Amino acid sequence: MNEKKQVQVNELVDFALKCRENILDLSTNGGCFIGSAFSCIDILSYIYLQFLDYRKIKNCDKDRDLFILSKGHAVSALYAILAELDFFPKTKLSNYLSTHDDLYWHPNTNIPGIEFHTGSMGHGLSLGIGMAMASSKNGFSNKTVVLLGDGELNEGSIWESILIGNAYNLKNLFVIVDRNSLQANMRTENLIPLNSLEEKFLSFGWDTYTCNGHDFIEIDKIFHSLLSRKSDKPVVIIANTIRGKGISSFENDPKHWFGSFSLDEVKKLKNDLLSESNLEKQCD
Amino acid sequence: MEPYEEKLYSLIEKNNKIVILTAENRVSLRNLPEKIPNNFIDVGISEQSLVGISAGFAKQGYLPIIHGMAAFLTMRSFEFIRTDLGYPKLPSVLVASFTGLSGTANGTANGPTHQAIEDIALMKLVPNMTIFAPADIVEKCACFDFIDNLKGPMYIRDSNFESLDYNRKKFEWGKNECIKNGKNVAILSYGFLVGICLEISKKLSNLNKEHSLYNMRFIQPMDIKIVDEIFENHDMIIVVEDHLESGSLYESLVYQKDKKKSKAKILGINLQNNFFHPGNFEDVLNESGFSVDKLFEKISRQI
Repeated sequence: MNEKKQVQVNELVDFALKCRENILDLSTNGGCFIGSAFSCIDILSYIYLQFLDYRKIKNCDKDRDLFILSKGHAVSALYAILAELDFFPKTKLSNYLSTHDDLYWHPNTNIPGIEFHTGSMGHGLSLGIGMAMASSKNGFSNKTVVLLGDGELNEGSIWESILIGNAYNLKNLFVIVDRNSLQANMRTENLIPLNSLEEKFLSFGWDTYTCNGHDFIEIDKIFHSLLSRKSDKPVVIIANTIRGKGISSFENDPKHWFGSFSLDEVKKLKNDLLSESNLEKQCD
Repeated sequence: MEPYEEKLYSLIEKNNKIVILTAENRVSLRNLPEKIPNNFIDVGISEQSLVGISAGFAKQGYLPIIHGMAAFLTMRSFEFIRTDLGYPKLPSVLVASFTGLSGTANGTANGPTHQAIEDIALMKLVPNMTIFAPADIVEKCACFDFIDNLKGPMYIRDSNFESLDYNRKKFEWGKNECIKNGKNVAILSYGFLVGICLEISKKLSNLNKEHSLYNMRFIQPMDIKIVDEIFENHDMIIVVEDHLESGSLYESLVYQKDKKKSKAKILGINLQNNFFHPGNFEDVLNESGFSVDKLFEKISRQI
């Protein structure tokens, strides 16, 4: 992230809107985990445009920043971002779920910009730790970012890795928890309560931050504060989000984890998305 | 340093991209942490993360050598091995200690929690996995001369035994070893049981009983050339292994027999479907039928 660069909120909002439209396009012809993708798309838009050096990722530079989408089922959000940033032609999105291409329900390394084939909950953090350790050993100053789902925090392997991240002082490791408070079918607090997540991460020794994961100014404040950080500890940002954010009829509704729509429905949903986005801009 | 530690140390001196990882299992690594602090990572008792972290290293071009107790390394982290190392063909080495009956060899008497008697069966299921079960420390160390060429993960069924005294042939990657070339009956084994089978072989030779003895150290991919030779030259094949029958080498050879339409008989001497009763090593061998005397009795009956 460039220290002097001021965050351009409108640019980010417009970028995230285009990405949400891309995700809606992917919700036809077999569907995608749209609720999960909409909850993390703002945070992904921010980190790709402001935090990660995506040009180096695109070039496959050895010292590139590394991003792992541990909640792999939200991959439609990642496809949407990578298409917008020209990792591959946008027309490729029309191959979604075709066996002649590799755009399916979980990430895979045949897609430019994707580091690891994730999807099984609880793997991404240990993978990220290994990559961050390797980067340190190489003397690189790159960052490793892992996006976790909050439901994923049910997995014991995540807590093993949280202990290890602290033990090895991985200051180049940045974890973002997409805290939409819903897992597949249930509200997290009604099943295996996670609160207070902040206290949990703090007690595990991580530098812990919380923000509204849809508010670019709040997100930016945290990422900017990281620039002057003196700590050697790994960072976790708990991004409070709303599953399905962007289309009010989807928001916070467990039924809209996955969505598969006809072309006519998508057309209408895009109108809803646009009008709600305009409304939000006016309110701002 | 012990020979295995010396081996790893010399590898790292030549190749700084090798990292040694363990889930707080340091039996064979005690002297290494202070010698290679920058290449040694102990993640504590967390086998799943151990494998995930190793996959992260491998993805970044490092060669992880991963240590753990076999029961936990293969079972608790099975999905991580399958998905994060096997599927992407990441070069890596899993060194599993306390395997099969050798779990009792260091004076311990591990209960069923610690018995790895299905490890080969599990590792066979992992795509792109090489399975190597050395007969002794010499073979175990020898295989590390070839790991730079790995095209995927490798599982070492370590028994950490002293070196065996026999006229060994030059170690070749992927090749099993014919220790004694005879007729009629072939005795096949791997791991520390090769040592016991060597003693049995000597006793059989003293009685002029014709037989062959094979060290089947490379279990997957199968050394088809030597398997063909075994089926062509013998009427009876006896497979001795401290593993459950399900997923065993015996089972693979039954499949090969069917495929080759061979008329050879195959006898599997293994743990069948049973845990073994823990105790002192010699007692366990005797009780489970793998002592020299008990095995000799079973095998000589077939010759």
